[in-house]
Amino acid sequence: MHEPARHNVLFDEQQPLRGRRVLVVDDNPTNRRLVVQYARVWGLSTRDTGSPKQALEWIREGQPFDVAIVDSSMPEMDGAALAAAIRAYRDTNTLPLVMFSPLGRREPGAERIDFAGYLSKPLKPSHLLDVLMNVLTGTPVRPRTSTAARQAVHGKLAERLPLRILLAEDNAVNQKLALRLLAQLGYQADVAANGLEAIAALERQRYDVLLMDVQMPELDGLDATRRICERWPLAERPRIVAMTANAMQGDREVCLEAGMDDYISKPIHTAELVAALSRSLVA
Amino acid sequence: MSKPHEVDESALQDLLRSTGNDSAFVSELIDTYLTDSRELLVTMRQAIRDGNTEQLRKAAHTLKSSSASLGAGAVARLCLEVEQQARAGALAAGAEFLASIEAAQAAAEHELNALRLALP
Repeated sequence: MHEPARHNVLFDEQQPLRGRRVLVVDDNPTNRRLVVQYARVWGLSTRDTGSPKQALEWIREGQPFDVAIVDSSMPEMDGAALAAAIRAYRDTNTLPLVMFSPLGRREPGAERIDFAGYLSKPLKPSHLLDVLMNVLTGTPVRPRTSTAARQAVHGKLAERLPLRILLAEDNAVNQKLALRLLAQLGYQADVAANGLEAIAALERQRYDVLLMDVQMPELDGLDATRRICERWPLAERPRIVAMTANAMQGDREVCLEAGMDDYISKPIHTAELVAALSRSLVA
Repeated sequence: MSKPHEVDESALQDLLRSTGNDSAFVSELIDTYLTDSRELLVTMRQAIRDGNTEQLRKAAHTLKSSSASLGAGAVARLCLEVEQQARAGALAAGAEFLASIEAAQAAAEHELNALRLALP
């Protein structure tokens, strides 16, 4: 009856990486955030900075890291220079280094440095996972999680991917169900019963994700989305995820045209919900 | 001979699993559904009497959506038909069609109550 959402291993906690500490040094905040967020979803702990000097300071202080990812080109100090400076304190066994560069290969000037891996831009999450697995566990093969393990890791999604979620849904049954599924993932969502309430909530505080029913009284999800998009620029509004019954053909297109960013079908299933929340990472 | 099932039991099993086997929650959700669906049927009957297609469409949509969440497939399918007709501005479904939804809902209610007793 209902096709289960395809499971994406990139949104799972990766047991072998759990608790490993990664230092991310990149002056580009978007790239840095992307690496950090994926690393957290996989269960790593992270420390990040846009400043190579700050990174060196942490290493000098003896802060423990299991791997460092350094951007090749930063205004303060380039990746090769930073790597060389790091080597004065930590050798290749105690701190493997990964170079993050536009072409994903050795840059001129970095020949002396024994990089354990290379990442190219734009970042491919699957490549990042492969490199981290390879460097930290010596096995580039990604383990597939069993169904039971998947259920277990979902419980920690909110810890790995903290999000402020607003649920706009007037149907009592579906509202209760959505809140319960979110709670199961560790999220305490706020609720709005219609589009006007959703907008009022956005005025009060910022949310990362707005799960929006399409049909609601007072102001429906489509009109509410249009108003939200007019009022708040992309960077200041939540990612809007439509929730609608998949029976109506063309619903998806209508939602996207109104300005919604994503779409899940009703009845809501945990796997689809997890996938939609995880996609807010790359938004 | 057993009657065809109104409620897809596997949908309830899925609900149970995805809530970490919280049978108290599932039972409460069934209560909410039963209360709401009775009210929505009254609203739909009233909307047909008043010739209010918009109200009929909305109530049918809501009942469809909740029914699907609880696995009450027959009610969901019938409501979808009403919703589509009402979307096109038609009230053709009429009182007779509504009677079949009420019958399906009553059967679903009976089954949900039985399934609830079997919850772990």
